Amino acid sequence: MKKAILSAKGLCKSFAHNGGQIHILSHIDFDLYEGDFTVIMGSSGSGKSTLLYALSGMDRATSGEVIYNGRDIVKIKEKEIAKLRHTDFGFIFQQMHLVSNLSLFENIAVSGYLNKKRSSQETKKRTEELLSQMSIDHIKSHLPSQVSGGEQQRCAIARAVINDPKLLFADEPTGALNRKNSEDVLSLLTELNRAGQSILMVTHDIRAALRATRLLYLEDGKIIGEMNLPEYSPEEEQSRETQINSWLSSLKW
Amino acid sequence: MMDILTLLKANLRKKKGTFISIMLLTALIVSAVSSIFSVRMNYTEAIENAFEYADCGDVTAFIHTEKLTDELRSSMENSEYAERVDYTQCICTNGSETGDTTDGNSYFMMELPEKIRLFNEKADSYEENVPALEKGEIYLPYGMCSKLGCNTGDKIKLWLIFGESAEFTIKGFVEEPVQGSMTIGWKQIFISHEDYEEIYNRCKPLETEDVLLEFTKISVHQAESCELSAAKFQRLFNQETHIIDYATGALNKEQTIRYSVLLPDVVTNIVLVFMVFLFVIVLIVMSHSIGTEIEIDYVSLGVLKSQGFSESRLRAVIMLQYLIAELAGIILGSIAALPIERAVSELCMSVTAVLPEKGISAAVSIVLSLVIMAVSAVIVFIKTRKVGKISPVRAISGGREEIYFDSRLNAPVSGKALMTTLSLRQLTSAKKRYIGTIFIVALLTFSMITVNLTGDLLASRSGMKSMGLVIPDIDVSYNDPDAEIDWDEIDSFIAENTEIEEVNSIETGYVSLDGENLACSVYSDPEGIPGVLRGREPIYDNELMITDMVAELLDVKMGDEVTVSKQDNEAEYIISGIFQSANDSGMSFAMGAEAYERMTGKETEIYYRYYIIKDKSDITDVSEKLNEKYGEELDIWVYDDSDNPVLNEYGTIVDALKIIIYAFSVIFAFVVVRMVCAKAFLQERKDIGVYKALGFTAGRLRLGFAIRFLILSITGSVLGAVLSVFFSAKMLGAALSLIGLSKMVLEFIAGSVIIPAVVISVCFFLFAYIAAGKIKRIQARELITE
Repeated sequence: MKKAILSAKGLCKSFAHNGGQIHILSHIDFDLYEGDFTVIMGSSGSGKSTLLYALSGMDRATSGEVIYNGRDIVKIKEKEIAKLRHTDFGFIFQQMHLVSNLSLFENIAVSGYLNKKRSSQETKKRTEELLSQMSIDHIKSHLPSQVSGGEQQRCAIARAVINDPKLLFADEPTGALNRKNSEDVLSLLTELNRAGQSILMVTHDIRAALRATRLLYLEDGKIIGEMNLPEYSPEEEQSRETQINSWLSSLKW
Repeated sequence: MMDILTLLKANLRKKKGTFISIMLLTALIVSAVSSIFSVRMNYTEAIENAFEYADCGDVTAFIHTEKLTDELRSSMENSEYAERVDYTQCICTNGSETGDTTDGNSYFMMELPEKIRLFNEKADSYEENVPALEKGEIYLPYGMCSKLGCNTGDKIKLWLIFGESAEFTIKGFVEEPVQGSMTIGWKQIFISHEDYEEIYNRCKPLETEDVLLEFTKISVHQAESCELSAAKFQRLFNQETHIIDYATGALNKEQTIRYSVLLPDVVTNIVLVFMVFLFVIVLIVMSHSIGTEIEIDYVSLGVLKSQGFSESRLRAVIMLQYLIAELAGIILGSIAALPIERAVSELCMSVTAVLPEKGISAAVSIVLSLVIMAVSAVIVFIKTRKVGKISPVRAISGGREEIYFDSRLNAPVSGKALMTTLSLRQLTSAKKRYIGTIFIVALLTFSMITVNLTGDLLASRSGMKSMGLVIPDIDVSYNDPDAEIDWDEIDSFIAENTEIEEVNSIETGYVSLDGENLACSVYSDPEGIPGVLRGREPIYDNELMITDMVAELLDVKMGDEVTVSKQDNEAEYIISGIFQSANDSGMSFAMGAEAYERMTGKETEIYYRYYIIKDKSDITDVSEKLNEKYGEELDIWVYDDSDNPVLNEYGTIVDALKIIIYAFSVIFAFVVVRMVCAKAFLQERKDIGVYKALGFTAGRLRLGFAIRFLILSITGSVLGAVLSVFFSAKMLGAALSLIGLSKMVLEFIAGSVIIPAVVISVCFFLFAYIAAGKIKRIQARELITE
């Protein structure tokens, strides 16, 4: 029996527009399980990213609950959300969003410094380890503008995991990368998941979805499909892709 | 044209904050400068009008009536320079007492002239009629109201010769344009015919050769054909008639105007220099704003270029955007200047004592507007050159990143003081963006420090001495002319009781120097003459010392020979040095008693002596002992710093200046921080969002923002303090040169430097924290994605 790490209950998000309301998310209910590599798919405008931001506390839901550790993060104070972000959650953006005037080393370390469980020295050591793990230790002093998109995204992954988050959110992490860099990034995420990291990723790329152990399909702000998969292995990639394609076709993808 | 208008409208709509900030800053400057210039012009005009109404002469002189011989009268009346000479009999007083206030200046008491205007109770208009004076009533010039702190209905006691006195009830205050100003010591006061006769009859028999009572006021009107300046007229008239040489004092119309508006001029000069600083700040803010706007709108500008907009059209849009904001500021400032001018004018009236017209001079506003717009246009033109460097292709493909952060010289980020080191990084990685802010803080701090140092200078004895003004601890003068005073004996008596640091005697009177009637200070010990700028004290009996103003007036320099004359006596002297002195607002010279005696041919009688005591705690004890022993023959005055009229008068001016400069600095700090923060916030919006996403709290990020401005303000304050070391004295010298003081020896007291730095740093920190409130209101996602 899998243990739910985060639960959404009746989650809604709407925006005011021209005097009316646009409903992006409509009464979403689902659980995220510990150790899963959950991928949310859906067409453009289906509300994937909005859901990810609402679940991670980056954005407040209009109504409903997001239960984490027995608490509704929709209702908790800004300070507590901030604490969650640097202790329990990690976030990877499509556009990397590294701080432009910090070096790669500093971009990773700055998150670590927020974690009071580690000393500055320990954070620096951990940063070095992650730089090496992500194969970007040779360019650690470079500014983001001086490295490639793939290197930036690897740095962003290292930054997201430096505080050993319980849940890693990824918003189309390969969306701005070429195929080679995408594969590298996905391999890193797979490795992290294998090591026990729970991941929730949003994508519309089937190649990225291949890494999932659980797939959710979103349309018009509602989850209309779900599929569970075994752990990813490169040898089964072809059959996995066929399986997912057929599932997506059934959902009129 | 429509294309420019469309873009302009869009820019004004989108950049409301910048528009409002520039408009407000310009409005503040325009309101202050317009009102100050208008007050100056209105007062000059008011004095001239008052001269005309009261039919005052171009030169007014007071001469002991017995010295006004028929020969002198005839030479004056027959002078080709004079159209008319009027004579008025008057009685000279030796000081006054009103409530607790005493004044040692002489007043010339006379009967009420026909043409004089009486102020109403509020002193904002004239009474229609000037009621005749009854016995025991007196009209005083309005300048005495503030100088003595008296009001209509109060009693005033006037000291006459040899202990005689007369008491009057103040019936009202009149407009006396020649000597009515608070800054002029001698005054013309008006009593009834009955009182005049009574005092004359009572005191005339007591008059001696040295202690004079009866004077004649001579008003000389220049012949219309002459068209000379009042000063030149006075010089030529004196060369022909020698009337000024015989007079006890003389004042021409130019001097009256100069002295009357002197204090407002000094204050406004300092404020004007400060306003120039503020305008420089506006220009810095504007250049910073243009620079960051071009960075932020890099893509939009690139797209517009790709659509066919030329560089010059895009620059014209930016230029119009700023010039319109300034124009709005000029209009708003001119409107705000109306009540400010009225308020400043009312404040100045207590000093100038004439009633000016109220209102802003259109000429001033137009010239000021043109200067502001022209200088701003040049700055905008230079700053918008960047637009030319925007490549449409690069802009559209997202090439703006590299123009955001301009430096590789970065401060390290450390986990121990995370927010501070991150703030420091933000600063070092965008130095160009913040360098302007440092200069702004430096200018504001410099101004605040300078005004503090001015206060310290004017509140300290050593500071005053460096400017040629001695503030004694004990003044001794004798009240009985028949008494035989041995000054050596008094010196010894004081020396037995305490250690004397300095002792000297000064006699001041008006003497002709190369034909100019000037205030002359005669020192018993010329080595003690304070305020020497160049050369040395006139220690020999053929030497004297002059001020820079006198040197300029007479076109003479150190080493030159000049002639000093008084009545029938005359002697040649060599200028041994240049000194500074506020005596007669710088129009004065000084010499030793022996040198003066060489000219007059008789020994100078010392009526007054001052002492500076080393141990100030002895002052009371010594004065009591002096009173005990010499109380009958001597008047003994003790000064303490808290009750010193000279220090208090200057203290009030400095306090007013402090309020103006501190208030403007805080307002400017607020607007500048708001603008710079808004731009920085726009530029760093994404980074702030990222930090939020990483788990930084809004409070922490706001604090980081505020720390950044704290670091900037501390850096700027240090720069401001350094600037003040080099330039405060020079700036002050330039402003106070009007009153004859050009060299300031400033003492840098820690509090005077630290307080402005703390005020400005706290303001910047707080205002930045407030301005960064947006961080709290906006969700992390919005910051990143929008």
